[in-house]
Amino acid sequence: MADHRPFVPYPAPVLRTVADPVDGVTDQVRAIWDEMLRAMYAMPGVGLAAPQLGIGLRLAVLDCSDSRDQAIRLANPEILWSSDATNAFDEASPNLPGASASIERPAEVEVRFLDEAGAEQVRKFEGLWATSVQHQIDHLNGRMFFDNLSSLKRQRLLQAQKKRAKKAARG
Amino acid sequence: MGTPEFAVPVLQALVEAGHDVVRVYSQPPRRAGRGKTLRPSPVHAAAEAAGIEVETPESFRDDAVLQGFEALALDAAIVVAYGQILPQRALDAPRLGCLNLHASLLPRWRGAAPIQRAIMAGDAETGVAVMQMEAGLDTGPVLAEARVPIDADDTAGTLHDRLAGIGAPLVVSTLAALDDGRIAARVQPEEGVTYAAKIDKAEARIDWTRPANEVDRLIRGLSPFPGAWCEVAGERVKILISAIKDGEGAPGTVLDDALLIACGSGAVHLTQLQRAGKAAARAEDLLRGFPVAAGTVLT
Repeated sequence: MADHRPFVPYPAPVLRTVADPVDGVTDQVRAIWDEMLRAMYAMPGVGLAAPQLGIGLRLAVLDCSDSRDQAIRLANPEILWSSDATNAFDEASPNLPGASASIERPAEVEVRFLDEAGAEQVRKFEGLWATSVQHQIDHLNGRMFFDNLSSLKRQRLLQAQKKRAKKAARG
Repeated sequence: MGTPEFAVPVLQALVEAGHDVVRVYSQPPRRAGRGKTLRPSPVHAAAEAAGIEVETPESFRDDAVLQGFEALALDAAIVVAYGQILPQRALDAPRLGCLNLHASLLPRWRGAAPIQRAIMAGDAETGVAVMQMEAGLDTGPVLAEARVPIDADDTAGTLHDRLAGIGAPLVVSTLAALDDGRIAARVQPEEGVTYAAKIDKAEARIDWTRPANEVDRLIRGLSPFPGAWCEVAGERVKILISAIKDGEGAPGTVLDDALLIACGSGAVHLTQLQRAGKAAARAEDLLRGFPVAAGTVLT
């Protein structure tokens, strides 16, 4: 048995829908987080949002550590503040394999969320952590990383992706 | 230290009060406008006009930047929407610390969008606070505050200008009182903490099933930036100013020939709008080139 639900392929509607907040951190929420962490570490990736597994809830997980043991679980995350200063990292998504692009985002963010105990946290993220948490919150608001590109670059990325998919289908 | 328009009156007030403003820190020039030319921030431009030395470090965590800041041996640093996090070493460097002007009555509306959130929530009043900066997000002890009522026709733009206007003299008087030891910091109470989350683009689409007062607050709270929007005959249109009016109908329905729109309950009259790629226009001017008949449904 697969130990997590599959990544839903883009453009599944769940990836384009604003996800619903959770009422609180229940055992069911914790079970979803655990499943998301298995999926994230298997990729391997530095973050995952619930809609990527077809779950329309405002849940995300992060781990940008080299040691892969610094997981953060977030429920109902929201960006309270973001810096004017920016960073650019290459971003990609298991929901659209093969596509990637350098995305410029605020270098520092303050994020409020409920942690695994259901307690409210306000936490500062910087570097790759800041990029990953913003990438996940984009998913919770129905956005993909390439929506942050100019329309020209975005179109190019999606066309290249289509070609790749066709080639793969032909074998 | 500051970057946008909101911080400019503070800098000017400090200079006019006779303070020796030895340096201004601002965000580096960014590409802006059609030609995408590098443009200095409003504070940067104002500081240069006043003949003040300007530094625009990418990161204040850089050791050389911190050393340069410490070497100034400042009495105080005034921070207004600077746009990056200051490490503890910077907060500790000036004799009187770093003072921050924040556009709300703390602890209400800590965070990025206090002006917009106050209007969107329907608050009857708001204000500005000068706090002693700490590492946490807008958690520092409050030294002084000033209140203003929020009017029924206020937008984030008009309220922003009013708050910037009262904030500037408040910073000057607070600084003087702090230097004389005439002021006691008030630790922010735990009770009443709310957060003014950054405005997400997903929030800006108007949901006509909401009651008229909520729709109206969303429109005014997000005006002029980023601008609440809806689709009119398949075209995306920003709504910049509205007013609550009597009216009943299916949500989103245009009830007359002057952009009276039915909401979940009640109605709103749209008075200033902006089509994509066009300038903002009053409703009557927009309708001349872009008629919207009664019975049309906005989505």
